[in-house]
Amino acid sequence: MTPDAPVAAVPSHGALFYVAAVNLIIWVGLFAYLVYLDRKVKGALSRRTPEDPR
Amino acid sequence: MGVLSRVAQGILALAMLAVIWGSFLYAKPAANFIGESSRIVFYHVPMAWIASLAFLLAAGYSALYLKRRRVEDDEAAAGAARLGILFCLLATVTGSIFARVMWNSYWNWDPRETSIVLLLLVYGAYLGLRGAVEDPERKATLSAAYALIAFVTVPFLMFAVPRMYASLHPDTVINSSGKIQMSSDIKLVFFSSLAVFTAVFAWMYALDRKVSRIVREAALAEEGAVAR
Repeated sequence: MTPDAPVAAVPSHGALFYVAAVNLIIWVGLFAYLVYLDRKVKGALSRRTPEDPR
Repeated sequence: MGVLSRVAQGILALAMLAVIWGSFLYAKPAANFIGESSRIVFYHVPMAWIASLAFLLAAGYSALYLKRRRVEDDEAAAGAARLGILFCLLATVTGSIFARVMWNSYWNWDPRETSIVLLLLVYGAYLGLRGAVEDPERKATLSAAYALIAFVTVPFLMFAVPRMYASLHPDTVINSSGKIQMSSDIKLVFFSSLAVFTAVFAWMYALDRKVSRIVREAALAEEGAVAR
């Protein structure tokens, strides 16, 4: 399989916007995982019955 | 949270800020890349590296579970697989953005793009399997066996397949002649980024394990309360 030849499409200054977007996506992804963990803990703790004082 | 832990987190945050600063302002754009697109590599490669590391951890803890039958090992394997999928997904998205800059298309079905999608499917099925089995012991055993088999595909899909076919993907960090061809400024930012993101992964993984323990203890407390 031979891929098509690369095509330059984005001016050099525009590529910096994509680098910033990559940064943002990574941090949103990592933060979303922390939110998932937080909800997991809250869900587990809310299931505890009132008899359990912990 | 201990003072040491807070200090370590502070250092990690500062190191991450330094890496972000370095990736934008210190390292010069690499040759053979369009404009500033080589800066994406500082983020994309650590994501792929951590995904491989997490899948290796998942396989290791799965093997330990099959040997020792400790629920902690099963939780550790599941946590590593979840984080592996997250980082694999981030590697896919960041790679896709790189493809848009370099080749004017977010997706080309390049061998690397295809193999990472297959990897996501393989580990997505792992989560599917965990969700489908009710009995905890059976779930742990089946998923441990699956994670071990799934890991066999990781070196194949991440390292072998992309080298077997012609690909648009730039050379790997260590090229075919066994050398790292990077200028010193790029090398510094790149390896700092690898180290700092790996530390972030270690922190998130420790947090995941702590959460799994809390959830397990809460479930046990609930069972105890029901029994009373």
